[in-house]
Amino acid sequence: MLTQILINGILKGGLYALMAMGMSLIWGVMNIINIAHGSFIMLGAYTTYWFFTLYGMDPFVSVLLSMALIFFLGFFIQKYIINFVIGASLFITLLLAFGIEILINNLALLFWTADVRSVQVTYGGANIEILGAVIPTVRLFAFLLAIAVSVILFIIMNKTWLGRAIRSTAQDLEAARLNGVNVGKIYSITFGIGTAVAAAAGTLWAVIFPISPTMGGHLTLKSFVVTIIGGLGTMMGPLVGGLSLGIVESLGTNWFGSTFENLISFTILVLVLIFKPNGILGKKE
Amino acid sequence: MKGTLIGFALIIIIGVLVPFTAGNFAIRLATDIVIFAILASSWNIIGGYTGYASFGNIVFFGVGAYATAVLMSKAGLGFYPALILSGLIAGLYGFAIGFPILRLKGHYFAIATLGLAEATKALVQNLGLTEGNSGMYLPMPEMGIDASYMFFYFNALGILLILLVIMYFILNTKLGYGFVAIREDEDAADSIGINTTIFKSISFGLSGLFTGMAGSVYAYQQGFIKPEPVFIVTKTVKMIVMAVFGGVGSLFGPVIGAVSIELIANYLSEHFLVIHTIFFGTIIILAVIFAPKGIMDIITARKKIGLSYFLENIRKNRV
Amino acid sequence: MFYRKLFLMLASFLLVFAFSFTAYAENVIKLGSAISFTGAKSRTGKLYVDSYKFAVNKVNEMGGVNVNGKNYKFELVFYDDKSEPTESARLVEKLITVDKVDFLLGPYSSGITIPNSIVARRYRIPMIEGGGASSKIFDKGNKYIFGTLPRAGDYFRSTLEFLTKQNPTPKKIAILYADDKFDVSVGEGAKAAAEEMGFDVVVYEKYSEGASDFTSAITKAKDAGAEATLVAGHTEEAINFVQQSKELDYSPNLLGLTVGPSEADFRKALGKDANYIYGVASWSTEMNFEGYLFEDTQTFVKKFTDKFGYDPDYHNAAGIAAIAVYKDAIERAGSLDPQKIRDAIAETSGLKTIYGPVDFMDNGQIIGSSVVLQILDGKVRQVYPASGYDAVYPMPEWDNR
Repeated sequence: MLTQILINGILKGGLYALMAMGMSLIWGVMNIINIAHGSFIMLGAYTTYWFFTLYGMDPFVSVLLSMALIFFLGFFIQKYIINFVIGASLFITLLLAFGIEILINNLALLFWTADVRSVQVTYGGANIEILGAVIPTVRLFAFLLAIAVSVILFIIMNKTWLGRAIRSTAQDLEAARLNGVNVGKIYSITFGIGTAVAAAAGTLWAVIFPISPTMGGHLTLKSFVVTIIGGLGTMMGPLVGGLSLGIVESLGTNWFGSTFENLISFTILVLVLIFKPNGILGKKE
Repeated sequence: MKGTLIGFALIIIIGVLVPFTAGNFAIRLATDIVIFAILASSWNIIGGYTGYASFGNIVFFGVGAYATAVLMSKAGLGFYPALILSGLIAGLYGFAIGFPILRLKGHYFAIATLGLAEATKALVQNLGLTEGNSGMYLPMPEMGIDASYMFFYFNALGILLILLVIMYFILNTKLGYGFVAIREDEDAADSIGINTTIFKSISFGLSGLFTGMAGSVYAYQQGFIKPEPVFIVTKTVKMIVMAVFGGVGSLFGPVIGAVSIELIANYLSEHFLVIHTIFFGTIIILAVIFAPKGIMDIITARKKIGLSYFLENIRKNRV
Repeated sequence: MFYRKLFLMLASFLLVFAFSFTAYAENVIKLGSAISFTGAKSRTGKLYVDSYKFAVNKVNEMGGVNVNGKNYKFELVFYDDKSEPTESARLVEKLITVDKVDFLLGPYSSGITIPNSIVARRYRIPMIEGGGASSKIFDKGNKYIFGTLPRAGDYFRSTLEFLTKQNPTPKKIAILYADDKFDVSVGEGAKAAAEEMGFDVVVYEKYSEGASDFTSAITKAKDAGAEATLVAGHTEEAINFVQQSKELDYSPNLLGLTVGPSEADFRKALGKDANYIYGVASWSTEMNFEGYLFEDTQTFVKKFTDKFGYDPDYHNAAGIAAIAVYKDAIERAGSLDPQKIRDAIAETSGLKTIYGPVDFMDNGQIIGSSVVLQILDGKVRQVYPASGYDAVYPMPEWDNR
């Protein structure tokens, strides 16, 4: 059974890692905590649902479309709304993000109602058995896709000119600007990438769990935990944080009961912040 | 000084008159507004005056609500003893947890408070004493319908007035100066001998005390509480928006903010049944972009208020 | 000029007349309800809305309610509470103070019924609900709440009895329950009954209300070797549980759920995977009682299915019973005074409805019992007490279906 518990945790952890990646990127580069992060996950989930329900598109195919759509949405939101308060004090930016979250969530409630929906792919209940543990195929695919997106993101950030521009902007805004980097555009692109990755996480979420317009809030909080545990400023952070959280939660809920999931994650969050705010991999500021 | 006296006088006069000129549903709305005014003003202590933007103040509301539920239903206490004890419990919680948490700054502090609220909610959801997630009953108040509306309204109003008076006095003492000094430059404050650690914890504790009392009134009024509504994150956002909208760091700002935002929200929900929450989100966004210093700044500012005021705000904050 | 003024005066007189005609219209008794049109509980909430409307139409067709010689029609006033308890209570207060309803109908689910019933008690207006079974609704001395669902604690009793009659009798039972008032009552009652009947409760686990991830709970039940698993939860949770049981290849001898199996929506959502799942209900379409609003159960079932396109379940029936009780109580009381109606409801004695006879205990909850259902070939059948359909026990493995 231990194998099963660990595997459960790893599969969930991969999903957590993907969820947190977008938030970590935005936070690390722009020093903005995107409280509306969960809303973008939710939007990714819903675009997947509609592509599936209206056009019969398989989620693992439509994920690219969802990501593209949400990329543009994020780009515009950053350029025309968030950009206005980037220089302002901390809680002003947080408040703005909350405002955006409220707006997006309630628009979703308006158009799609509070009803719970789910994406039922035909290969839904299938599973494979490894080492005596049962692995649902859908969760396995989701895990693999999460890893794939992380790797792609890693490549973009480290091997392309765009990635270099983003990283230099994150390190030193003025220096980057002096070097001819269009920082305004970089900020918008970064935000767009962050929300697109969140949308991908939403796609995977929709395949495994039921979705509703208010699903985002809780996922934002979970993403915080993952980001903090893993440590800011590194691409590997969310991966390490996500897997760690997934495994700890799986073990913890098995030991104490499934209702303890939130108590475990948030106590860890508070403790990590108090004792090791840079997380496992985080660089010292 | 004069301005403050006028402020108090206005609150007392309007506050006392409202229930006698309006029907029950309006008194209910007024009670909600006063409770929000308490929340926003309490947040102002730690967030406005001391400069530590807590995003988890709702935790004290929940602790106060549940403390009252447990004390009244399980220990058989009356409302007033429960109210005071709940406030003290919430306040002590803030004071104690302040020591480790207030060492963090900025974003990290904000997230830590968020985590604290969620962790406390999760704790309540798993405790037998609080009946887990299924909810707790409180004893029914032994009074008629009209009397009970008045009861809750005046209790809330009383707590708000006590809070404002206490804050007014504190602000004119070393404690109050200490708060502001910490906000302006914590290292400098430290070097001139202010025990910033203790001061910060006191600030957080005071914030928790009054928020907890508001939670207590709310719980007794509802008669049945569950963890989710009393620990809900959006209420923290609302109280901060109210404080910001009204004017952070001023005594009456949050009260004005609470009254205006709640009235606007109520008007919207009455007339735009479906889209009022969308309007609300939009208003937050616009207010934050165009008037981040709040209404009080507009009222007290000597400079001319016009289009340039708002544009100036945007220009200052752009990348 | 003069003729213009005269014309305007006459026109306004006519308009006023027209309005006063509509005001004069029929005498009306307003029944108000804040209920889950949307949100996590909406699948079942909608069943009540359909039932309330169906029953109210029948009453009005039959001539309405006779109050001391005067005929009144029932009128329903609804609000969507989005499955949120605080919102629901607020809307009930609105129904009373702003819409000025005469009496109240319950919401769906115990967790929402409790705050609603507190408002009813505060304003001393009776509420009849068919959607909350937890004893926590009724054990606080609230004299204004009445419920047509039997005690939650007894829900799984008949399932356990059914198990004792199987050969070989299973020994190990897993009980999983959500952390809301209803499911906690069901879980506690099931555990007590199981131990009383000599079962070994190997897993007794709480899970978070509204949870969508049951991996941990299912893993535990599998590992403990539970032969029968009872899950107390609402429909949304039930659907997820079955799906994830399939994903994790968990197929005990009996999987019994509280809410879900009786509903058409559940079967539609799960398709073939719903087969062989067991459920409980306080009523089934196999029964046949003489009715108050409808001739008898079978006639009701046919008429309902014809009108709404799905076969009714016990939620529907409990909702019908609520309206029946109101008509009966109001006519007995011969008045519209809330106090008198409350007393009349409490005195309801053996009222014959398509749902069965209605008698309330002193605390306001109906005296009733539950039967065991199983989904066979896409249809819900009562399998215990026997009604002509044989249960399939044990449930076949997932890959043997």
